[in-house]
Amino acid sequence: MKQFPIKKIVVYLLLSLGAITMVFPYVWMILSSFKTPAEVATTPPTWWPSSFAFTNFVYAFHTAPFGQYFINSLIVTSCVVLLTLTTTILAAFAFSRLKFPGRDILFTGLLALMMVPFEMMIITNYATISKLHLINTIPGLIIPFTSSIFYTYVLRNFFLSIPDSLYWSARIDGASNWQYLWKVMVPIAKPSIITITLLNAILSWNSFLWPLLIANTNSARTLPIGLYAFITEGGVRYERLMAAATIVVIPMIILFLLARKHIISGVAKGGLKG
Amino acid sequence: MQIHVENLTKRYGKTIAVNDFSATFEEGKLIALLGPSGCGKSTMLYMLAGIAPVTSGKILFDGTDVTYLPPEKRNVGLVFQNYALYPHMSVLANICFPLEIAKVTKKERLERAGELAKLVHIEDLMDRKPNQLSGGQQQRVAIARALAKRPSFLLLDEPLSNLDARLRLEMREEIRRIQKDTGVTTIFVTHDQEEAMSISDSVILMKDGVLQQYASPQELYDEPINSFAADFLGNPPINKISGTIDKGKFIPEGTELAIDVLKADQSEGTHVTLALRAESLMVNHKSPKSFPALVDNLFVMGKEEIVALRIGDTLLRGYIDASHKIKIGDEVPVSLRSRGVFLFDSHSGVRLQ
Amino acid sequence: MTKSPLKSLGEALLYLSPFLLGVIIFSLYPVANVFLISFKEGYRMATGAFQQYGLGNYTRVLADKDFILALKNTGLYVLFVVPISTALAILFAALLNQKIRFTGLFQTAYFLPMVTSGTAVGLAWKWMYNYDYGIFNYLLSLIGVSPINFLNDVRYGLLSLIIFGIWSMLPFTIILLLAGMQNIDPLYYTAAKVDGAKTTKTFFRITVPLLAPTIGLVLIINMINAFKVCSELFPLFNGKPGVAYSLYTVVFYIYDEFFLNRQLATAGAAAVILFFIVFVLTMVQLFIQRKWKHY
Repeated sequence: MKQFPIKKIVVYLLLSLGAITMVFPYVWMILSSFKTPAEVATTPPTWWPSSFAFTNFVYAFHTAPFGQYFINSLIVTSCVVLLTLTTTILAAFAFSRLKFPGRDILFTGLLALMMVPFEMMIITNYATISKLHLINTIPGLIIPFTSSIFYTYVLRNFFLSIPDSLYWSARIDGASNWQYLWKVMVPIAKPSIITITLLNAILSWNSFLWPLLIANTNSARTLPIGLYAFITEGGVRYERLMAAATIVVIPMIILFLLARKHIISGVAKGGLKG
Repeated sequence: MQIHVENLTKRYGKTIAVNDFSATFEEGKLIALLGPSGCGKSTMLYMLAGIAPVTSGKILFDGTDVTYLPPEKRNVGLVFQNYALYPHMSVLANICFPLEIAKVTKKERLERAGELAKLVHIEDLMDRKPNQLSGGQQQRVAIARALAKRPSFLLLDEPLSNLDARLRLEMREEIRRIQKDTGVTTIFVTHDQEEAMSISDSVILMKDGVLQQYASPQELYDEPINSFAADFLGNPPINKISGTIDKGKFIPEGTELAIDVLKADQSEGTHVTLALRAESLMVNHKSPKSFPALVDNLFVMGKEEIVALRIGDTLLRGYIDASHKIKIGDEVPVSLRSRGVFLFDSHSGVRLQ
Repeated sequence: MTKSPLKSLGEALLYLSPFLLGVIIFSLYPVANVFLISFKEGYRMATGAFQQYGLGNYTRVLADKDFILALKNTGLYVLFVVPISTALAILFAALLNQKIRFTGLFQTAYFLPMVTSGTAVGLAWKWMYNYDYGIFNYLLSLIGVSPINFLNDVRYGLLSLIIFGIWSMLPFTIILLLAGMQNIDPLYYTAAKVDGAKTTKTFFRITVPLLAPTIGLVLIINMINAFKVCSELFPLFNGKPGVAYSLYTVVFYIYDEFFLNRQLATAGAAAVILFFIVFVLTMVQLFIQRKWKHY
């Protein structure tokens, strides 16, 4: 199949142009994070920093506890992911495998509830967390996010695709519902579960509005909130701000490079949903 | 183990899948549940396994009522039509799974798995995953898994229907061999009469959820209890001519013929169906009881020759000796053997002789 | 085998209780509560006291010029961001759907913004929008345009937000459209090739019509998401709704009423209004999805 190369050239040219537009903010962020104050404040801009010194990173870590923020983010995300996964697996099993009165009505009701934007729930949830004395604590960032109707819906659909005969075989082999769930269903649903875990981790890591309300002390701040606080504390020194932003962005970039295919296919199948 | 079911009935809403089914399955036998699709034979199997809740009636295992016992407490082995192997486990892990659940030690598990692998000839496949196996191999693994915990009896749901023609023959023999080797009471479901007839000790024929006949394969073929049983068994399918009985003779519809049929005199004047096995038709056999028929077509199938004969508006198939020189369009004398000839009431299908 | 309904319900509840506990406390109750509060006139947050039930909060919100501004800004934001990002996404999805090399590299570039913190990236955009040393004003100066005060000029705030919004929305949109394109039977393309159709013609005659349901779905999902625009404002405008409070959005208004002004009831009324907008859009989405299945 011979093709006029001009077509290919146009395709690659447009693609590269788009790619540059998409990654430029990151490139510019990282490059700026290595610059000296003088290099930042020049017209025309300096493209390449004179040396890749970590001065700005050191400053960021000294001024604000980014290490602490990182650990907070890690704790919050791991807990949210693990707890959500547990509740999701158990609930998806009940909705797909168990027969009980009111199942379908309950499930329909949950789907209706799924349509309500989270922003609407913030008001009451803040009051609830406040009543539980969990403002400015890590648990306050975690417990409202332990149940996800959306992921339960996704996993239930996957569970439903596992043939009944497998379930009955396991039962005849002597397995209880509980054993069947963990020894057969969950291993089979591994790809689906990985996808849910990744998407949920991304959402939780980058979550902003809720921790902005809840976490106002360094001991509870997650990376995005810590960064946001740094804007005011660190002053408008862009080389420092960019260093801080880089610190926040790097873990997710690494995760994306490692699990790109899973993340992309997960988004393509289910879409991101809070 | 002997299984006894009494007045077993299963309803799904308004439809009745199994209706008032009573039978005894003798220990150590290979029994076929035969019938067209939707006749309730798989439901019957699932009720025995404890998967489908019983609507009414009783199931007894060696005299013990197990009607409401959950499947894990019945000690049965079940092989599904799609084999239902655990896709994420190796063959070995699949076979060991029931033993692992039963908390059998690892050493014993491996020993038992080894025995079973030898029994079903899958020793070389133990590390494979189910998706790396052929249909026949999956079937063997599924049987091994079902036998792992030494079940009181083995249930097979359409065990051969997912296999291609050659494998089907092979696995059919294998099922027979494994059943003989282990001596485990085995019940298998099939819609294929040839499968049922070729390997089982006895056959239960079902239609619309109702047991029609429970007999050995030979008896089922030789003495069908009703026109459905006669219809369902045999290849080529049994020939049928409708007509009436007049003065002790069978008068095919739309003809002037009068055919001598044994004991036809009991049903004087009723509408009946005469059913004839292909091998019961004899061509060119000059006897006082013979009647004329038109040769409509001739087929050669391997070593046999089949002739299609026309009597009135009805076509009959029979085997002929190739030495007879007959052509399409000939009128030939036909007579009947005494075996394989049945009279049924046209309305009820009940056997008249 | 046959379990009594009560027993089966009991077992199901064992599996469901951790999930339902979270749903009831943090989803169901909040929604019901917000609905209720939004009808309580003269509600006091501290005591929970109120004068009577009525539509007072709604009339107050709808008469509030900040809320009207929020509706207008959000509407404009949706109106520009959704169609433009979807159109660009169709183009890039079509390009990525070609037989190309360096797929991994391109995928990484196009889809990265989906996983990174909006706050961090927003900060990078703030730096690029910078009046004195920002890269945008430098690039504009190359083509002879005088510097624009992207963030601190009332005339340009919304534009800056929209450009950032389009960029943010692209990756997700491209992925959904790309998946839709990959579901198109290649036979159609072979047939078109046999018929001698040109690339652009194939694109508009085959890809776009067959993709129509996906495009419809993507438009709705993006509209719902765009309607909730809020977090983007924080890094760009230091936590304020634009310069001189000119960039209120609906969610920002709710946040402001609730968190800064402590007006729970009016925040609730605004949230209920947001819910109805999203609800209508979701209904449209479900309708499209149902039609899609029959496609």
